[in-house]
Amino acid sequence: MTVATPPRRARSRELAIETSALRKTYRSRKGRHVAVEGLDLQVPRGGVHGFLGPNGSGKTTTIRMLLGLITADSGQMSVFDRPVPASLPEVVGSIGAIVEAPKFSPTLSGRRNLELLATGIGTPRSRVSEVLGEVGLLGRDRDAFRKYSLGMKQRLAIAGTLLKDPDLLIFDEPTNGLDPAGIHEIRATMRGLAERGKTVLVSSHILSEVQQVADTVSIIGRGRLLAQGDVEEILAAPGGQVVRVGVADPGRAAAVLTPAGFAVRPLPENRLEVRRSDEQPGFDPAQVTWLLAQQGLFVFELTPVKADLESVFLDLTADEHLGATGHGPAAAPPPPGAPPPGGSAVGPSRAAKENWR
Amino acid sequence: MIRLLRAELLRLRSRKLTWIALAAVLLVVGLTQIAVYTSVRPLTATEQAQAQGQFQQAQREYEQNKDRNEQDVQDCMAQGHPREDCYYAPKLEEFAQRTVSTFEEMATLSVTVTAFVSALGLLLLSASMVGAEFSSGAMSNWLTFIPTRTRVYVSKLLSLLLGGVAATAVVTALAIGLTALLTRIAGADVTSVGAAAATGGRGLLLAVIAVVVGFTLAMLTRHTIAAAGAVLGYLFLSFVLQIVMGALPSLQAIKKLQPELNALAVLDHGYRYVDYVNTMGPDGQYNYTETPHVITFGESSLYWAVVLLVLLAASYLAFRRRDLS
Repeated sequence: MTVATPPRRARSRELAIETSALRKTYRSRKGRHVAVEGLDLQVPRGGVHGFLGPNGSGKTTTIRMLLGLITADSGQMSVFDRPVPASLPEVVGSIGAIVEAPKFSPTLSGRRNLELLATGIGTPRSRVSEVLGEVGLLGRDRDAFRKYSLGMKQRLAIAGTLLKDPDLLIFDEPTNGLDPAGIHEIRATMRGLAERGKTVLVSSHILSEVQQVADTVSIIGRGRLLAQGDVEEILAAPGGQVVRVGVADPGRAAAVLTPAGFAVRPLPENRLEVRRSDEQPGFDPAQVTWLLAQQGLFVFELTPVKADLESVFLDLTADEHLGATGHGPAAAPPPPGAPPPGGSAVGPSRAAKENWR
Repeated sequence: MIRLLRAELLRLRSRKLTWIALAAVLLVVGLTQIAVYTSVRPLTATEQAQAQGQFQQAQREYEQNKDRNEQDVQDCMAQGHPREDCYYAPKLEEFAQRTVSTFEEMATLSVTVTAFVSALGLLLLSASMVGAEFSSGAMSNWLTFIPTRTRVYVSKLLSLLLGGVAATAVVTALAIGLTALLTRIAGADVTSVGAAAATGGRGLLLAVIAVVVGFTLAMLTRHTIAAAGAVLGYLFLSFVLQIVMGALPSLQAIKKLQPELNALAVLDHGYRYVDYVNTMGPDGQYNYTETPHVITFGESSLYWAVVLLVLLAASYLAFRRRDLS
């Protein structure tokens, strides 16, 4: 994991965002759909906090509730210890947010859109040029917003949030549709903001992207919190320790390891991905070789696999049936010979779930 | 609130549609002035000579057939018609190619056209201002910066009212001024300017109505096209109602509730209209009756006050409570 600053310990710190038993249900002609269900989210002050979950898991709904754009059915939310949405007018000056795609008046220029915001929030118009310069849009600031590329729109939206010099920045899927250079730019911006003491909440379903910048993460699925904590703690959890095992008969090997508390995922070329399926700490790879050797199955490869957020995420969300929506990573079809979804192939790892306080 | 109002006025000024709408209204006002000048201009010597020649020719023909014409008049009067309806002797003014209008007549026309065209422009502009913000998502972005929805609602409405009324006042003053100028140039008298100004003043009420209707419809439907569609839908319904009312005279009572008649009642300080009813008598003959009605200025003001309050309340509640994407 590449992190510019060491992960911050959160337990002793105050929270930038906290939600408790947050719930939101959408009603449509097709019936009721629970978007967020009893979400207890805790985002520590300072640093980048990754807000992870597959598409449709409730990330954007949660962010919209925090910003007062939609009303929660029940539960509590607070930003900088002030209850929202009731106290939103008091804390909004400290929040900059981009929800999904940047949204401005398409016929007005980028500069005019920012001038409107500056006038509305009482920021001097001279600040507009400064923030346009900060995001590198000064040469194109008089073009109509609709003529901007997606990357430029994203940069303009960031410039908009910077008008207020907020302490909390909320970026919802900020790299959607961006090219690699644009993604790198946004990542650097987020990291830079965190290093200036700001809190950045970045929601994404692209886990590798978040892993590179986040100090802490929350993982949600179907509107519920699955895990949250420092990235290193999440990766160090039992579910995050993985070995790749090469064996002549992977099917028999899986049958031996699964009852012994290991989660097994078939890989191509007679390989298996093996991790603990229970929440016991201390993964000893020798135990794998011993168990297999006892059954006459000899290992020709045993390689530690560096854990990443993606594997942890897949692990956590595998039994949430997220794939049923056909959107999330869990929706990918299993490789041939894989155990049925929701079975014992990959067990949940909830040890990393903890409170920040 | 002042900050928000300034921002909304800046947004109004920045939109191309604002200037296109203003240019369209000014174009119509300009075209109306051509009609004004043509109408107030006295007949030229050529026109007068032409009219005189045609009148004399007609008079000669009438004199040649005087006996037969007199007999026609007597027959007509014998059927119970008054003499003025039966007497067909040529009159000089009938041969003029046009009638010369007074300033008062043309100022009324000019102000009426200006008021209605401005109202139409403002209705579309208001609907577009709000509808475009919803459809582009700019509204939800704006609310992440200014989360107090009441202030956002009020500032947007106030900016449109201020801008709309100010623009209508300027355009109306321009229309009256141009009409007076052209009347003077034509050599006619400029009288009753106060009456024209009063009509123009009531035209500002029409501007307020148009802004509120456009704004609230767009707040409720969240789309410019839907808001404009609601207005077009009403116009179609109104057309259908006219046909239905012809077949079912009892429905004519709802005329008093028609927005267009109440708008005219505001502008003209009262509006008179007539219900026509055909009924078959016991003798099998159709009796044609005309029943005059009046919508007073007070009635139309009350009507609009109620309509606007309902629209404002519904759109405000929808805006406050609605989830925004």
